[in-house]
Amino acid sequence: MKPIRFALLASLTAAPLWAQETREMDAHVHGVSTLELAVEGEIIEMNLMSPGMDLVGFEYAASTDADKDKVEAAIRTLLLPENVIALPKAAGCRLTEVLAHLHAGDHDDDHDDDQDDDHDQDAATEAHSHDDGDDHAHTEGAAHSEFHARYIFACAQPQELTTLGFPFFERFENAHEIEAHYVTATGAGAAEINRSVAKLTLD
Amino acid sequence: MILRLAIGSLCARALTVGMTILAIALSVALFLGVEKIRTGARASFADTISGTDLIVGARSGSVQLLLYSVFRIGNATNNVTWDSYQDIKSRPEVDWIVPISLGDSHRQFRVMGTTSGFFEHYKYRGGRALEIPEGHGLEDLYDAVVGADVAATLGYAVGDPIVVSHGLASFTAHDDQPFRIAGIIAKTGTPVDRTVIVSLEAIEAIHVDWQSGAKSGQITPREVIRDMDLTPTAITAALVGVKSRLQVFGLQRWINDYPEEPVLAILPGVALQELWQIVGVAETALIGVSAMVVVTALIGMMAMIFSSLNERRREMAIWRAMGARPSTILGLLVLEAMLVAAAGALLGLGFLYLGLVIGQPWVDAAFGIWLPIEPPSPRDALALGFVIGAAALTSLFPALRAYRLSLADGMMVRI
Repeated sequence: MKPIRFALLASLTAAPLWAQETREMDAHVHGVSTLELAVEGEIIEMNLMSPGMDLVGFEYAASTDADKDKVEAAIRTLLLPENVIALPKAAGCRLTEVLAHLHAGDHDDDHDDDQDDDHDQDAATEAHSHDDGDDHAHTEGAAHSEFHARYIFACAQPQELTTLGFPFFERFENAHEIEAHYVTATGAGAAEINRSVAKLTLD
Repeated sequence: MILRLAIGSLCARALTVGMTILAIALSVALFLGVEKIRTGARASFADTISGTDLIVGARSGSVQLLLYSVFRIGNATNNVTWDSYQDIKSRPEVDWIVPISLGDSHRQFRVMGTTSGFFEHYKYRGGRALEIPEGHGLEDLYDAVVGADVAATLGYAVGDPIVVSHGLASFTAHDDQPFRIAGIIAKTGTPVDRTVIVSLEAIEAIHVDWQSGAKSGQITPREVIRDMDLTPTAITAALVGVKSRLQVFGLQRWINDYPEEPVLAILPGVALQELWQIVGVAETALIGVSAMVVVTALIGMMAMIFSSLNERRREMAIWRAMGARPSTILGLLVLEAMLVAAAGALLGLGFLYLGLVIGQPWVDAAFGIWLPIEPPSPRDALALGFVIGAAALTSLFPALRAYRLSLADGMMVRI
């Protein structure tokens, strides 16, 4: 609480300086991955962000060979989209781009790799809460790693993209939930995908 | 044959049966009405904005931003500075951006400052654009375009002068600078109907002589104001359209991570869904309560049948004597119950539509929720079928009793 009060005070007294020093905390919830899905014409693009906890079971920097093997295996799994997402066959989708990598959780303040919009998360410290509700924010040096996967498909029949399946949950046993945000021609929406209902219906 | 018997028997007890039918009808009307209002409210909200990819405002909650920017419910926690607005506007992903500025009012209606782009890009009900059948859009600095409800409630016509009040519930008016109604927007069924739209510069202009939230003594002549630089310093929110949907999330993240000012970008559809998650609990409770009312009415019917059994024992016995099988007696009672429930359900449906016809304009005017009058949905039909089925089931208890009694009693009834 104290740093926030101080920040408020600082913002009142030293408003012009505020722009030079910003403190931010992104949310990071174990067990919950986020998916952003956009359909424009024939193109469907998906961005999946998963906490390291869900995919490999730890979030510290991998140091032992066993840990490094796990990270590698996770990235290899993510690189094959059929391990993560199942598009309807009728849509006739072909993969045009795939990307999978791990954001390490080291949080230097001057860490400024802004070359891609998607990489901004690691520049900020992350608030951390577990799925079961025992929120506890790590104040410093909390290493939260996050896997990021991106898939872009070109679909011959994009109107057939109605229900998407998620084999993701079979591949990664610690994953509980995906919070999906999507935009399609008919508008935007949000959905919760979980182990028992491992599909997303686009309307 | 047995149907005619059942109807005849019900008619013979018209008063008690009538009361039971009325109870069931009211409960069914309540249940269907709650469902109607629920779906009507959802549809009204969902139809309010379309074609806008992102809404940008001060960093707060996505639901809150959606509510104050689109639905004029509640107030902004903060404004967005003009510089930040310009920064967002200059992003390559942005196709169009429409600033909106809220905070003043006219009578009970909100005043919104915006640009003529609002009329071009604001879409409702699946992509319909705003229409101005009378007059024109914002051309002059002191032009105001009013929504259909504003014009109807206050009896305005094109060319009438109107005075904007400072703040939302304030006694000080910007009476030194009246506006002229340039156009009236055709009814949309959205909050636009209850909005007075002026240009962003006009919002600045009427506050020229205001210092620290109060009117200062001097009055700057209109000609001088027209020549002033009326670029606003802040706006309340902005509606954004992107060039390609694939860029929506990238732009949203860029805005949400914007370091110079805490701003928030939301996808209207996603925020609406979050709103439904919150409201959903109350909705479920409402449906639960109204379902309980239906159950209560059905139990009332069961009590009615039970109490009628005693007085009908002789009747049953006569039927048995005339060759009716015990199962016929059972069938008769169940059929009677189903007829009562069916009559109640149909009457309830009638009540619902009567209520809709009477209440529709009022609900629309008071809450901005449009309740469409349309044939019963399959869901409604299912609910009615369920009521009749449940009636058959509850009547089985008294019917089984009658079955047993009619076997035992024979003609030896002593009443």
